[in-house]
Amino acid sequence: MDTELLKGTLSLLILSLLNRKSMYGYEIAATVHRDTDGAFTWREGSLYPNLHKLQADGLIVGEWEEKDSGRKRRYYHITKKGQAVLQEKVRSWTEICQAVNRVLEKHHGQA
Amino acid sequence: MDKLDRYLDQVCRGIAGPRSLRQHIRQELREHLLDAAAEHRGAGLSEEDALARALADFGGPEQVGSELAATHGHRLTAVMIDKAIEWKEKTMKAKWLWSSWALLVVVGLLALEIFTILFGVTYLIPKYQKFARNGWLGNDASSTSAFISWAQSFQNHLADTCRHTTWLFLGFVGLWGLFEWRVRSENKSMMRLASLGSGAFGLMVVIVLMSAALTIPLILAIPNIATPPPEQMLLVLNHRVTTIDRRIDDLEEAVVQKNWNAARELTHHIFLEIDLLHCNALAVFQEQLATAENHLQNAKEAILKQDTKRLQDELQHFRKAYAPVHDAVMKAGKVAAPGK
Repeated sequence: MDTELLKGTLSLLILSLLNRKSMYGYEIAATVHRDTDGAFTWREGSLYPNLHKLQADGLIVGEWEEKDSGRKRRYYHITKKGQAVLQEKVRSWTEICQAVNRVLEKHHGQA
Repeated sequence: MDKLDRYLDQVCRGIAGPRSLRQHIRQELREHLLDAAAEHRGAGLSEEDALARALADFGGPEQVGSELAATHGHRLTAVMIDKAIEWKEKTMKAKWLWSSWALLVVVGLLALEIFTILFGVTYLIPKYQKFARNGWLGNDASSTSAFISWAQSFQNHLADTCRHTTWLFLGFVGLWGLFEWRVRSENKSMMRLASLGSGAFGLMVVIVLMSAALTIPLILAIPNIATPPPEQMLLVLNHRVTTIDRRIDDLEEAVVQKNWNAARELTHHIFLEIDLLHCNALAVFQEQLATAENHLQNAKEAILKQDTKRLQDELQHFRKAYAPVHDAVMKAGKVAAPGK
């Protein structure tokens, strides 16, 4: 899959996943991999600059937590501001998808 | 885990901000990579392969580090170190640059050393020898004088050698030409550098010896300078007294002509000479000299006020206080006082 397309959607995916539950970095990467059936071939390292950027913008917060495994991991939680931005991004994404699909249907007969 | 630590070092070193931030990021990435490696091990890879795979999936350290630095800011020192390493790698490839620079430095050093030696021989050594001829270095037969003899002998040899500078230079050029012509070796540039370096070392030894020969005898002679021989002391005192006499005559003449500017100037010079007499160990005459100075000071004030009568009175008192010093010096030196 085109990684350039993914770059623009990574923050949307992260916010969407964190809106379901708090996760740590590897968990986010593994969930994206699993839920997309490995469709995204991305560098996992690019996840963290995105996470830190979202945190700097106040959309998520990260905290070190020790869960059942006994290992300390940095869990990220979505903030209210993050939820509002997610709603906006989902709406935009839906509009873009619909618009792109309409063009594709018209010219290629597929969506 | 050395490989993992090296990877994390590379990723985190360029990130700006406090050390604690880099530690947090490092810890977070480390946890991720350990999780990923564990999963690959679970899939049947060896420990080493699992880690290699986890690192490969994570991305190159420069790229990840650069993305993190873009988020958190670039660390200046890391940027500088990277630039320095880059420059080093680039220039190491250009071996000629380093060897040319080394050659240039050694040749510059040689030129500086030759200039120093020639300066010493043409300017410092003649000064030193004049000083020695005047007897300031002492003439006792102690080990000190043995060193002074060596110093003088060394200076003479050096001066003799430097008289043949042209031949020495031509010999050097000839040897160099022979070397460039005949020597065929892959280490030729290193041999050239080593030869010039040895020459520079040899000249440095000469400079050190020359400096020792010029300075140590002078340092040893400092007691002689502080208390010169009696006959020299007498000459000095005689010179001072004669000068003072002459200036007093000139001062009186200036007062008669009411040339106050010249009078002020002459008084100033007399003050200086009296001060020097103080310094020349005339202990028994300190009181008279102090009195003379007081009257001279009063004379100076009279000059400023252009008060002729007071000035003449003060000069008379000055002469009275100064006369014993003058007479003692003249008598000791058996030198006729200048006529007035």
